Amino acid sequence: MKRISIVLAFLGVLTGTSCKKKLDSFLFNNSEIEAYYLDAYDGDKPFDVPASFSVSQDKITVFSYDITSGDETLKIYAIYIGDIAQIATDTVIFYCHGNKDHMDYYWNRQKLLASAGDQYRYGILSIDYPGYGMSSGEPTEQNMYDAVNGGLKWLKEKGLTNERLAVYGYSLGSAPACEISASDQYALKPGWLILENPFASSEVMAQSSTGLSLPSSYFTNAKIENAEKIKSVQQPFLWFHGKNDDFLSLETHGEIVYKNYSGEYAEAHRIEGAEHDGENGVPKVMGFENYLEVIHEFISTH
Amino acid sequence: MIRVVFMLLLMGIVFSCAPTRFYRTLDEGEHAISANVLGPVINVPGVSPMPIPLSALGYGYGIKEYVTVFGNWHTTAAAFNVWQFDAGASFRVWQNTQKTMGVSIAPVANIMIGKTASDFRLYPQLDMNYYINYPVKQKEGKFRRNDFFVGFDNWFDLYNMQAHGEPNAVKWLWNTHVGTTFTRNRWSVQVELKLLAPYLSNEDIVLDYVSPLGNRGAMGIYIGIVRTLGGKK
Repeated sequence: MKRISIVLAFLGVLTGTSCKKKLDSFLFNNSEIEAYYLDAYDGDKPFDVPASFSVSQDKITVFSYDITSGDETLKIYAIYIGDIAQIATDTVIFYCHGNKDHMDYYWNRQKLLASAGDQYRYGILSIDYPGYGMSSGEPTEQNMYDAVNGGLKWLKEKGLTNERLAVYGYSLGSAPACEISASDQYALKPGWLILENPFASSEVMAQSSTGLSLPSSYFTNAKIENAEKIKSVQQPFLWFHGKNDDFLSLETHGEIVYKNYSGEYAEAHRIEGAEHDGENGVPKVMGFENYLEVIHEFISTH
Repeated sequence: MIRVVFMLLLMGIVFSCAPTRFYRTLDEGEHAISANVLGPVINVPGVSPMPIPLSALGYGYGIKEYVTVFGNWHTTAAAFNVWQFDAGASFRVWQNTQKTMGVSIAPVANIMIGKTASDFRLYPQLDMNYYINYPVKQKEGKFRRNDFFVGFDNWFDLYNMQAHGEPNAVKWLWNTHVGTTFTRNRWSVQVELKLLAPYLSNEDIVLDYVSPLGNRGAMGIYIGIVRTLGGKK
């Protein structure tokens, strides 16, 4: 009996000392790097793009800015494709990348967008959230929004206005994209919202994974409530979702976000055969030209 | 990807997260304390399939020879600041005259308490088990008797709504299991395999459950240790 008591006491102490953890630090799949290599990056990439989508070096600007998030000052890295001097008159797409790695991983996706319409028709801004790539800090839902707001401030300082800004959120990037589209508290409010394979919410992730109607607060403090925030979005909305998305399913995530939108114009593209990412991701399965044409058509006509 | 999948799969914390409790009732006046680990098996990309490291500490008491009450505290859930308990009673409803096999049922209440009142959850559960005692020959011609058991457990999710006002389409989750218990003196070790929700798709979710049925259900592995006290010697 004494031995058992000792074992139980040990387990109790072990459990007690590990209390109050959440899964937040594991929600983000960030990866740190020493430098951005862009075309020379030889790590994992979702897909390759033909040379016709190459971007000339004089159109690429890698820069950083500081943000304050809570008590922290963080350095955020960003890549802009286009002519910075033209931001005051150009239309810009703010590309909010997904959960994996950093901007080098998403470089080909950012390059693709630079060819929507004609090449350099749109300026394309991407940033690394805190803890991703060379950006400092540890990622949280709030500092991800703060980092995106830093990018909006930078664009605003260069002369961009709401009606010339589109935000594109892919996967995790749908969270900041919905947040800045729904709220007035950020430096700019985009005129168009584009989502690819969006989350509905962390609650949907919890419930679809466990089979039970569980609150997401059991697992994470991050809410990522796109399905609720989209209700406040009035801007034109373009939605892509792979029918074979095996990570954020079309039915439980994408369709709920789309259904909850009640703004002035919505356009849905449910892509047969497309998965969440990689060689069978939405842009590749649609065909790059077709994919870019849909985006350009959406922005230019709505 | 490894980290996100691994952690999000820990969301399986409360998915039928415990081994079978007291398929065989304790003797009247007998106490039992227990600890168990493991859970549903998931694929962790780049690593290997592995069971989710769930754990619980439990206590049981035989109030009658055919009724055992029990409760468990789920320690892995506690590590995430979720106070999860289960409490129930196991009733032996049939036993042969040689007392080598029997059938039991066990209604259980699964209670989860989070940070706020809206985070409270209650899931009723009903287990049904058949067990049979089998002898294992020991040294000097003696026999030690171990158990083999098989059964079903049923979880009832009575909440009408899921996230964002979507209707809760699955209110009854059933699982089936098979296991064995090795007993020596007052100690027993229980090893159990579960087939979780074998009729539900396991595709298109953030967790990559391992299942012998491929794209349906999940397999769970559970190991527990029990020490009995008091009651008949």
